[in-house]
Amino acid sequence: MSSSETTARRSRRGRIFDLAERAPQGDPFETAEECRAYDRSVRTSMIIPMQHMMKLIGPDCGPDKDVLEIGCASGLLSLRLAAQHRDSTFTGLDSNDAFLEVARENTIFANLVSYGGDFACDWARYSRLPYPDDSFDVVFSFCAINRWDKPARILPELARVCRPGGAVLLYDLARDADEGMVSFVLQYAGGDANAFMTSLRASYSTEEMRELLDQVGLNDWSVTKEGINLVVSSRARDTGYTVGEPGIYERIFD
Amino acid sequence: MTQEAITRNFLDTPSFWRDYPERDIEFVRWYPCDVKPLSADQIYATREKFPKTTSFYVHIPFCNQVCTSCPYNKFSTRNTLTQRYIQALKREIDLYSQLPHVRDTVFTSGYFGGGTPTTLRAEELDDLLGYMKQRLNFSPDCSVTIESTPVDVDQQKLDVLLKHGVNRMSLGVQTFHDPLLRYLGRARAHTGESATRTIELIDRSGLENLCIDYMIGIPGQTPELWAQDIRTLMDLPVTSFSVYNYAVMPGSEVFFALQSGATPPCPSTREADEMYQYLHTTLMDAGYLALTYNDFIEPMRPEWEAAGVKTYPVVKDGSKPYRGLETDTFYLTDHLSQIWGRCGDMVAIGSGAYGYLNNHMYLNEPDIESYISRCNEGRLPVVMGAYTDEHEQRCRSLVLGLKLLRVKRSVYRERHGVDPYEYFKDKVDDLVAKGLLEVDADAIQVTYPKGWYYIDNISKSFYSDANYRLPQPTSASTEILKWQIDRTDGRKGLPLVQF
Repeated sequence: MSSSETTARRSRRGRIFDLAERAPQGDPFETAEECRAYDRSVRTSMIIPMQHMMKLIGPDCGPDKDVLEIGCASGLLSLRLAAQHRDSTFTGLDSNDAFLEVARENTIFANLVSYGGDFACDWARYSRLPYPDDSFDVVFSFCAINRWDKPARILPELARVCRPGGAVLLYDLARDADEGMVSFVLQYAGGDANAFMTSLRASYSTEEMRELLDQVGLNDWSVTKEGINLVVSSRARDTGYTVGEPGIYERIFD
Repeated sequence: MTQEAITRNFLDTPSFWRDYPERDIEFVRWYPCDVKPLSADQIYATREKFPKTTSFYVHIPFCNQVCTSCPYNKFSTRNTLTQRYIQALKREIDLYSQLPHVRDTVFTSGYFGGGTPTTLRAEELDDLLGYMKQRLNFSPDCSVTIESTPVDVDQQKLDVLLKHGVNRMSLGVQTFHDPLLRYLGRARAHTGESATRTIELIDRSGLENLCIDYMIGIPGQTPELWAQDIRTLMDLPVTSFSVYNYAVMPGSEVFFALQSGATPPCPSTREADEMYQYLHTTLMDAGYLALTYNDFIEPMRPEWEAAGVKTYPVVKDGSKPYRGLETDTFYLTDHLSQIWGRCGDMVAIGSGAYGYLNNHMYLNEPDIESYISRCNEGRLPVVMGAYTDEHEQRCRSLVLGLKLLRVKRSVYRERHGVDPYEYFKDKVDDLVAKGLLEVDADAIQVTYPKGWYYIDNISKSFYSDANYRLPQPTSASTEILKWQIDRTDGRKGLPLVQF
């Protein structure tokens, strides 16, 4: 196949799944038990996205940084980063008390096994963060934007509490992801397939996120699509997965 | 660094589409991929073709010990469920035996896969095989394969299998090194020594073709251990041999064992490629014949040659003496030839089984309880699939046919009424320019070694537009159906007629 043909055939969107229109889901987690189920899925089927996010945000997190996670859910990501960066301070905020209950359970367990790191979580309304301007070096969220009611009111808050020269990084699903990739993830999502598709349908496309950022004056923030994910960053960054060293075929044949 | 190794291994493994010069490693085994809801009534509504010969695939979704790395439809063996399942299989066989498409067809080969089909007890195997023989027509030289592990087969089961004409067994050995088996979570299941004992037992029983499976990419596997495994293979009475990539599933026990450093890392991509190359050159230097890039059979025997088995040169300029086997000239490789080479019919029996009949690829209900209910209600348990029109059939014959490394142009012309090179000229020319294919008057052939390494890129080059950049369907594709916009059936534009 020629490369021009490849380009012509590249787009696989809008053909298989009902993803044309965004279908908001609100916050689907009501009970602590539902939150624990989500927690288990982050530990297993979402482990690779979690590690990808850690790789992206890790270099910004230490030393001596104040790090804020918006929508920390069960707290796993901040707990893991806190253990890696013990000289930084991590704060997780969530507006769902059921999630905070599970985040506290995870924090207790992390302490029991001496996992280390400085992490605390608390309740907050994301559109009115309880901090003065320029309070944090790093502000991030992981797979949370798709549950936000009014992102146009939240995004400027994230910019406000982030210090000049700091980093805001938001990681979520991209509704305009390659449909082949969506099929592939669905096949391996097992019992989490419904939650995955509901979140995907509630997520933003690259274009919609770009419009949203422009609308609230964050024109200099970047939006990139990586696999099935959307990465929003207050500064341009290399989001690419590392896919390993070249195989020997490059040595043998070229 | 362990974490790097595991991350790379995972990201390499399940990514399902890579364009050349990146090497695609999704194992292409079915086509088409754009599956839709489909029922048996829809498949047989219009009779498009009468298969003269066919193959069967029976899925036995039980294992005595379920491996953490296995992506297939399977359950731990439970006695009552097994019995109900066998009853359902027999109902399904009954339904097929009455179907005009299958009633007068001759089965030339078949395959019992899983799961582990030999987790069934000897009496159950006897019952099931006997029932199939009684209801369906088998050719005298029908080649039947059964998958097993080194611990789920004994003399009694072997006697039953031989009695019913099973002449090929595929044994999941993975490796003969006990520490590696432990990393795979198979320590409780078998050891290198028990595998050797079982292989000797099978050899003494007189089974014609014993195939063993190895894996490349196991945690802790090194080139030295791999070379020892290859030597072991060549010393044992093993007729044929397959190798597969070991995939670390995210969030699995092995995944965390790797991350915490509890097990040594998986080989790097480079090491894994070198292991493939070592395997290819060592076996073919010793005269082994290639069936695919990952399946080999023992050097030509006089009795095979006398029976008309043919080979072809793997390297066309003659710089290497390597030979490949023409699978359609040998009854012991009929199943491969039927499903990939001829792209012929295959009746799927059992929960989660894939088949191909009347120009439809189809999948049976993967949920075992729903499967049992449907069979007991007298309904064929087909749930999804795709119709292949003439264009898709032409694509399919190259997507799957080139997995056997060589497609004969005359055979293709006879089947499809067009020459494969003329029909796909741009694509073939492009692959020839990249050094992946060679074309002459007789055949389109995958180059060695380059084309072998890019075998799945080559296959995918012949996907139709409708299938471009779609992953291989699995039994979990039923999840996809729930979310599709277009819920029309997989027959694509053919009129629906009530059966």
